[in-house]
Amino acid sequence: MIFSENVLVCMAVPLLLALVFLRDNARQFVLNFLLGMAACLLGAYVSGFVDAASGMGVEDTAIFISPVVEEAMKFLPLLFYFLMFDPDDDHLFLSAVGIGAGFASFENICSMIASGTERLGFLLIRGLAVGVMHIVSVFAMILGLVVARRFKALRLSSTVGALSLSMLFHGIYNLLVSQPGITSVIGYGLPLLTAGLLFLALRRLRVGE
Amino acid sequence: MSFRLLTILPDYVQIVTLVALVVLSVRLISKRGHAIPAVYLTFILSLWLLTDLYWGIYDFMRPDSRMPFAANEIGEAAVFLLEGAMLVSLARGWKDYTCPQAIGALIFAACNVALWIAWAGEWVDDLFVGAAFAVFLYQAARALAVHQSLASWEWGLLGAGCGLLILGQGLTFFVPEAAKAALDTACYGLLAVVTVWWAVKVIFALRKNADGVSLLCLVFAWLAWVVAAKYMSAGAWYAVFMICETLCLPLLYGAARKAVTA
Repeated sequence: MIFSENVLVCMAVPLLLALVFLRDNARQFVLNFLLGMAACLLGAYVSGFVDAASGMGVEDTAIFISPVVEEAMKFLPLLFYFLMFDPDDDHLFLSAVGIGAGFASFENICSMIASGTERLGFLLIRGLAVGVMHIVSVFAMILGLVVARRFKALRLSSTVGALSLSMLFHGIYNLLVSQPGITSVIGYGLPLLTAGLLFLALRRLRVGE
Repeated sequence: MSFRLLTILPDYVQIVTLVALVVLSVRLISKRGHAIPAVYLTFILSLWLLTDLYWGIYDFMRPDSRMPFAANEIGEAAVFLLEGAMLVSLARGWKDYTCPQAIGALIFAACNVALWIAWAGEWVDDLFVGAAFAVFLYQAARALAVHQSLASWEWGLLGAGCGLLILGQGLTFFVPEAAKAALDTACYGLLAVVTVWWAVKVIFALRKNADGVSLLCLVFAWLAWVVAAKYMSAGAWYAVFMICETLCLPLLYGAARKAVTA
């Protein structure tokens, strides 16, 4: 049992203080990093509630429900920012990466506290897999929204489409790593591979501007 | 083992088809600039691919176990909503148009959802996906009506077929086992006949060199029927309708390409 709220407070206080001294993009990134950590905690609460209410069991909830809940939690602040402030693409990507990085960092820290920090190999795999996966999934979501907006196809359906794109990616990752063997190896490699593909897609999108 | 292969192979064939079509649809966006239907098509195919992958991986890792509510249900619902939105994006002057056929499509969708719930008892999943499916059917029926893709006698036959199907499937809950098997076979026969009829309609439209939007309406209608048939089927029949669904996909791309490049 770990007290995630205490971990969040300890991590958030210096970052909140840093906000006072930062400006522009750096401030926006740190703010979104904080939002990502808060989204992670809220996601854990909601997943815990769904587990208790549905009786699916901790493992099945983590595999099947967590991707849905966690991506929705990351999506909500981004959707608010997107709809209320109509930011340009770069600011939107900056926010998405901030939220994804904050979410992944907080989840990794809680996981390390729970499982120990002795094995560097395991921690590296976790960092490169889960850490990258959260950034990739939220980035894919925002890429979907940006493409829909650019081509004037932004409707409820494309918004739900962008969200489900990230949920499916996250869900596939969770499913693959849920069992040891070749599937988990593929699962751990998937986020890095997708990150490379998304980088290429972003470059192409910027060339097309 | 061979029967299992029969049921999983269509899924893998569909995944391969979708990979190729996603690449082609992305190229269609870059070629055509501000082509809204092409963007929707890319969204639809990408989500469909991920949904199929999710299902394929699940089936590989946990065969013979029923999948709980998961991300792929949300993906399926998003695909239906996007298909409806793609039809609307091609609409010319019928955004607020409602017709009896569209109301009939909603009733058919509602009956389908009721049957899914009765078969599987998965209220949340079925209501969620069913609501999106109803939106798709509604838009598909409206598109067919506006483009006058079906004659009135064809609408009548389609309505009668849908009614008979729902009645037949509904009766299977109340009749004895022997009659249930006969009813099931009759329903599968009806599903197959209407699937072939839609295929013939699409082939005739292709041969008559119909415009892209009219062709797209017919392909979407065929797809909607095949999806409904797939969800009503099990075992080998499920595989058959999945193959039909895979056949619809290149036609969907071809029709969208024609509509975009027109």
